[in-house]
Amino acid sequence: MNKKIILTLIAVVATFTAMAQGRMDMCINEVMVQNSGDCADQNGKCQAWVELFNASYGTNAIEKMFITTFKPDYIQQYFKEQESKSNKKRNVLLEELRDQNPDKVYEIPRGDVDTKVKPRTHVVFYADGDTTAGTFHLSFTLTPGSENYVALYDVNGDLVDEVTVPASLPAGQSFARVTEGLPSDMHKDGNHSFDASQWEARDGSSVQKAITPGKYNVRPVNENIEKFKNEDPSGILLTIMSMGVVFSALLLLYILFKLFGKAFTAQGNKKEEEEVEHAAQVETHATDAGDNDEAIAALCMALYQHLNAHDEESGVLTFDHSHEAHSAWGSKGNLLLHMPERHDNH
Amino acid sequence: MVLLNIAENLEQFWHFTGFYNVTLAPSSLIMLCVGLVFIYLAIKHDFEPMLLVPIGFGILIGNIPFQPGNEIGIYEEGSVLNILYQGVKQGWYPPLIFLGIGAMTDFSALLANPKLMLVGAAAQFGIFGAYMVALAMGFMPDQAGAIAIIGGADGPTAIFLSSKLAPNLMGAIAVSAYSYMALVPVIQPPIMRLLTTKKERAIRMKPARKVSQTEKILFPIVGLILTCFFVPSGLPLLGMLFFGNLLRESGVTTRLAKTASNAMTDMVTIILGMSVGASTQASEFLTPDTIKIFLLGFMAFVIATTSGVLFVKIFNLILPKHKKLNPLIGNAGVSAVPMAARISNDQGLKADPSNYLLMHAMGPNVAGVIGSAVAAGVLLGFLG
Repeated sequence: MNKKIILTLIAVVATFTAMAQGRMDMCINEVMVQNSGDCADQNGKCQAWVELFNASYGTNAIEKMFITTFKPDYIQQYFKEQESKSNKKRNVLLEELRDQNPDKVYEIPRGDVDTKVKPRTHVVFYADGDTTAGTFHLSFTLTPGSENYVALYDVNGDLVDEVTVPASLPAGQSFARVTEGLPSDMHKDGNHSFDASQWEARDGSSVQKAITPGKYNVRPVNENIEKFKNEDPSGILLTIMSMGVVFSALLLLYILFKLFGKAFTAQGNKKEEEEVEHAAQVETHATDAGDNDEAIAALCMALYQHLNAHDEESGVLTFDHSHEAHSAWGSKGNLLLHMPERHDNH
Repeated sequence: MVLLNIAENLEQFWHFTGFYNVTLAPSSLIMLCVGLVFIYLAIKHDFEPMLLVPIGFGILIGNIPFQPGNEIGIYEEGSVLNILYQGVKQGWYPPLIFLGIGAMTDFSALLANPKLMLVGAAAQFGIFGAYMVALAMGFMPDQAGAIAIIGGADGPTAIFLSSKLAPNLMGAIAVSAYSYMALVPVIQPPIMRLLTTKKERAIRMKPARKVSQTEKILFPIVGLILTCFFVPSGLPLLGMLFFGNLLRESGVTTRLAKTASNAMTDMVTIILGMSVGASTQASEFLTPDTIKIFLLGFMAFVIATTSGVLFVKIFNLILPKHKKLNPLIGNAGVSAVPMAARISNDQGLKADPSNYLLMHAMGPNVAGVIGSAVAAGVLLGFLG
């Protein structure tokens, strides 16, 4: 029973671990609605753009993901209506929606190697409505002076991230995340809804307010090292914390295996007692039988006769085979030839 | 005309030779001597030969002067040495070594007396003591953490952590860690004798109980989940260590355990040792920082040994008389398996020729392996 409980617990923990390790971590990182010349495309045109960021530590293939200006209410309504009519999957429905509204839904095409976004890097899409210009040109444009909504859907048709750029955003300014999205923060509760407090307008007036298409919004610095350098110059704090963690981990192991040890020792003792008891019983029976030595002798004689037991050896010679299964090609020892010995004939 | 061409070609060839290039980088001669000393110590004095021979020869390989630009050197992208070095740089080899260590290690001594885990934990103070000293000597926190891990007396752990926190110091840290591991029989005994009385050294410990196979199978599974929930950053090392141990103890993967503990570990050790040795090029290695690292490494070993022995003495104050521990097993908490445990045994036999401490010392010794991997994970978590 105990073993079953332990195994169930281990399975539950393993399931949670597995869930914690797989996630799609793309996010919308910065948007420029009215580009006044900060980021030109390959043709030198200054277009509106949408920057995506791979917040994970693994490469993400973004092909077949959808970028749209449709609000989720509309898409959910569309899904509901279509799902009641057919069993089509959401990505298929989004493809249908793309065909019906090419100026509002863009599907990132397959086959472009640049759609494999490396860990912690950015990719910029130009919102110029010109898909003939390449993979990174959206099929829609953004409207200056009015509110712009942009959403990112994954290959299954699930909402990944969204942003609402306010109508008040002046020309030449971008709307960016205050810091790069972190996977754990972004998706930990499956809530991808837009949080305006995490975004800010950037005018490029300072390092903090820089417009950064294809680059980090905040210069990456190792905050931990800076923090420990400033707040714990002698290292005492880190030492106490670290020793605490090391001790806690091993203390917990100690307690657990102390308990396991007790349980298994008790089990072992019980088994041993049973064995001793069993042996005692066998001995008692043997002693009872031993009262009649003649009977034992008779039994032995009968067995001797029955089994045709004799003391002579069979006289058959056998080879003692090696236990190691060598094969001719796998063992160098078997492949080595002995040097022929020279015999002089006198 | 022909003679002139020959002279020109020979001159060009001369510029390719080590004899010419050594004049541009004479410090590589010092490193060649260091490599030769390592090989000498390994062959003549049997100092960790499995490690010092590959490292020593690697130092020779890495310090032969040559003209750069021909994809020869370890730091030249595309060269064979550079490809092998990626395993060190990216931290692939240490977890593979840990897989082998797990497959080789019998945790019975620890499971029979689980309180020895705490001795393994206490000895990790060597790491953090050295961290504080390294900070005082002017190293940055990440560099200090990478240097301090030498106190864990675990080569693969030291390489793994330094490759993440301070790759430029990795060569010096690895060589320092392995050197002091080889010198454990010289460093530890005087400290152990200094901190213990003759009476304490003669303490006889209760014989270890028999450990069931189920406990041995449960240990790697529970150990992994528990330690890695505390320090997920230690996952590469701890995951492989416990996986290797499960291969050994499960009873159904003997062939895999055999391969992991023999052929695979040997192969990775050869490549790891040689690559680490070759990465110690004079320009990187012969710096004042290297001297500081060696000094800090020595201090880390001294602090670790001291804290292990003192912890046992303090622990004895609360233990009942029949369960008292011999403080001589405290040194084994630094890891350095199984050398440190052997030293406990040798010192114990000197105090009482019939008191064998080897199996008791193996407990803190293997706990030290887990403890140093956890400590590395903690440092990576805080400073990575």
